[in-house]
Amino acid sequence: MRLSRQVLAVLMATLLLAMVGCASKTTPEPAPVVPPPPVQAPPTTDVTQQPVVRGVESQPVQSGPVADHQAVAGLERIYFSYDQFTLEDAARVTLEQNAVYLRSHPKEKIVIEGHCDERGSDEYNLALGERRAVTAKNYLVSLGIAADRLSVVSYGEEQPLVAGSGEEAWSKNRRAEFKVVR
Amino acid sequence: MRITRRLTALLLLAGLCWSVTATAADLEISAPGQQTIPLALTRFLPQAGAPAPAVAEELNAALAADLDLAGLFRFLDPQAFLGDAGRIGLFSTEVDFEQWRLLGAEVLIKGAYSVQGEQLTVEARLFDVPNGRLLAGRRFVGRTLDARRIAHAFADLILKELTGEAGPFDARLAFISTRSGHKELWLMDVDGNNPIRLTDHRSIVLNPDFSPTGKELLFTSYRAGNPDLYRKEIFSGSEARIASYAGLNIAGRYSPDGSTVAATLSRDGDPELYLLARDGALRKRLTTSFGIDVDPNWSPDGRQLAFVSSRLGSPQIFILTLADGATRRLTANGKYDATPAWSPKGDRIAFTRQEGGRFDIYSIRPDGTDERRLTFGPGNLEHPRWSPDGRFLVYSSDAGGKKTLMVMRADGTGARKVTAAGGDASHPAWSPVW
Amino acid sequence: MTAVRPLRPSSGLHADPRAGRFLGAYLLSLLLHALLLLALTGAWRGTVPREDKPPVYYIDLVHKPVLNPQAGRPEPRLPEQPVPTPPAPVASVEPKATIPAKLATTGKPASKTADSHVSDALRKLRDEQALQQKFAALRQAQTVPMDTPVGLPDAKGNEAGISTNVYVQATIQQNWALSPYVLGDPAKMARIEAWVRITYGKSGRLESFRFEKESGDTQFDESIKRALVKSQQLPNPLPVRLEDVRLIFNLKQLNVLAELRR
Repeated sequence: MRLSRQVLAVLMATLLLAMVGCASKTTPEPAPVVPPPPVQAPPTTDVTQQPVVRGVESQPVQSGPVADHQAVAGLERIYFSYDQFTLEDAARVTLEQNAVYLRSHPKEKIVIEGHCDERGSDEYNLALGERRAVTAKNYLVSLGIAADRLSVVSYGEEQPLVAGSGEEAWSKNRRAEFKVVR
Repeated sequence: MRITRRLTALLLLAGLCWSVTATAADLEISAPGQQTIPLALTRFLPQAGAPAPAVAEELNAALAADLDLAGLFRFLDPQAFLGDAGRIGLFSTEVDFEQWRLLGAEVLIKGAYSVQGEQLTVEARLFDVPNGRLLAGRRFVGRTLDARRIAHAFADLILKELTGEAGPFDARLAFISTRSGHKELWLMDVDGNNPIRLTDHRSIVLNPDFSPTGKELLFTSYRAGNPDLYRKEIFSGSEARIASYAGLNIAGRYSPDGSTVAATLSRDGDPELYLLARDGALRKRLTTSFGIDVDPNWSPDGRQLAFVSSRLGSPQIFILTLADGATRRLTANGKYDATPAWSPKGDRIAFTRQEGGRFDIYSIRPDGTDERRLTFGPGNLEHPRWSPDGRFLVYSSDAGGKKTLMVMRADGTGARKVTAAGGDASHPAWSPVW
Repeated sequence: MTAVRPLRPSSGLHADPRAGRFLGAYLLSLLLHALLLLALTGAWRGTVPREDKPPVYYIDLVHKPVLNPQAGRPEPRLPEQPVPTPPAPVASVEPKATIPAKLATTGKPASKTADSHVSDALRKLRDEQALQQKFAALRQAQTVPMDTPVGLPDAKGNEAGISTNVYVQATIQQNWALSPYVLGDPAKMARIEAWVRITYGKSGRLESFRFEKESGDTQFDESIKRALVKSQQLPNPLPVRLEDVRLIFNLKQLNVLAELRR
């Protein structure tokens, strides 16, 4: 069936193609000589001057103060599961103890740092760390701590507590820390 | 076409053009016998002044490395070179092409240099051996320290001549290094030479991106205690904090026309994508999903953004059309996909995927078809970014415990290390050609 | 209740049955004429698509180009090794063995476990045997009698050597150097093609070439020109003059390789 359709198409196209076919036969005679003669490059026009970009100079040193935050005895870290930002029971207990400290030091302002383990993409972990910090903050607020005393910053995987790979290091690095702003 | 010709022949036979004789069958050559171009790279020779073998060595080594990475060539063994390799031949009349034809060379690179004090002048030539003609020639003038950069510029020219598109070697890589003890922003040549530290924040600097002109860099820094977006002019050194909203100000990327910046902010409580003006003024919020939306990356036409979102649970790559805000999922096969990078030609998106606890680099068409795995370890291979011509990918590797930068061809072949020793290097970005 | 009318075929599809019949007859007539024409001209083979090419062999360029190359195999065969086991019909697997082990053990787990292990091992053995027999049959099928002469698969003559066309084609192909990285774009590689008309004299000298159809890619065309310039003198003279033969340059095989490499 396929073949017969092909044949049909053959006949249909016949007349038109005949013309095309005959026309294409009238190609001009091939040029006699083949290998192009070696082209003589114009000696100077092809060569141009091009200054090379100068190197970039190093910048003047600027001192970069990192905000001064301090860990204190009454505020303990909380830990999270891999790729999670929900609070586990142990974390809730720790947060309740931290809330007790915060109530007894009503003048102190706290920054909550969210951290991740080294696995995962950097930017995603920055976002995940922030989620961890925000979850901790929200829980503290629900325990009656004024929200304006609590700020949040994520360090993603940039500041591991424990160096190295393996679940032991990772589980310590998936954390939120509570530091007093001095 | 073929069928057409068959039909024509049929017709002729059927009696309309009896006079035409049948021609011999066509000869079809459906692959080149050599899939690399035989290249003779001769040593650069002293032209005037005292010979400086160290300079010649730098020129030749840098040129060979670039051309090798390009993947086009098969280098002919210099041991086999005949007398012409020892002569300066800057014009086609001065080159004995018969010698090179004998060796099977198809292209020939010759060069001469002269050192006068600190000034280095290099004459570099590319010849077509079968036709015996000059394909490209340049005179470069610079400092002796610039020898490698001169070689890179000539390599770019060679690729331009032989492929129609210039190479990306006379460019810079911006990256993050801990060489000074902190994560700072650095700049170096594409082959890892001439590293220069650009920031001194003594904090954490992350994720640089070049402006389309290559004159500015965008990056994230914790200098003020919060991850904020900074913009730095490379030549003047002036620096400005452009976005310091509450929460995250990260992953800034210039739009292809340089007028807009896409970034992730969490000022509204959730990490979402925003468009900012160049000075950081808020233009538009792009995403509203509950879920982490990070790592925006522009399509070359500036109409779409690839980004990472955890809206379906694990991080996946999505594409957002700016005109109507429509979002579609790009990758479907991975559990953890991140850092999309749209190729400069727009034909592919490179990204990194975590599988079995390790990241490897993949690429996919923007329509979600033809996904290819480009790397197979070792270590975590992350942060892929394209060279400005789309030929190569630069990425970071932590194989062996130390973070280094690597370059490979876009098809995953030819991978090699680029950073020099000292500190961890990550987050590369390839500048436009300078 | 109303009487149910007998169902009639919908008339829409067969508005004018005679017209359809006429068209059918017309088409049949055309078909028969076409078949006749093809049979007469012997051009039937012409409609076979070109894709059904014989497998590609590497041609030894040392061989002289001759007029009537001998038929046979491209390379001499090694002495035949006896097939280890004669091909036998594949043994049908017993129904018992096809019962999944899990199903068999559900009834009485304790007593049936050992049984299922045995049947598993048995099935594995049978599968292995069946596979070996298939391989043996395949080897047998591929075996060619020892006395087949060395030559070209599609040749018909009796001279030791290769045909002029193949010789010229292989020489030019050897001289054609083009890296896939020159073109870069795989989509472009799939469709790029250039046609060149060449004339070789009997001395093996390329007398002329001209591009009948350029590929549109400067680098691709330049690489072809270089290949032709490199092939302007063939290592051996030709038995006949090659007059105005069309050479088709494309990258179809390269694409196949690229796909396989994925």
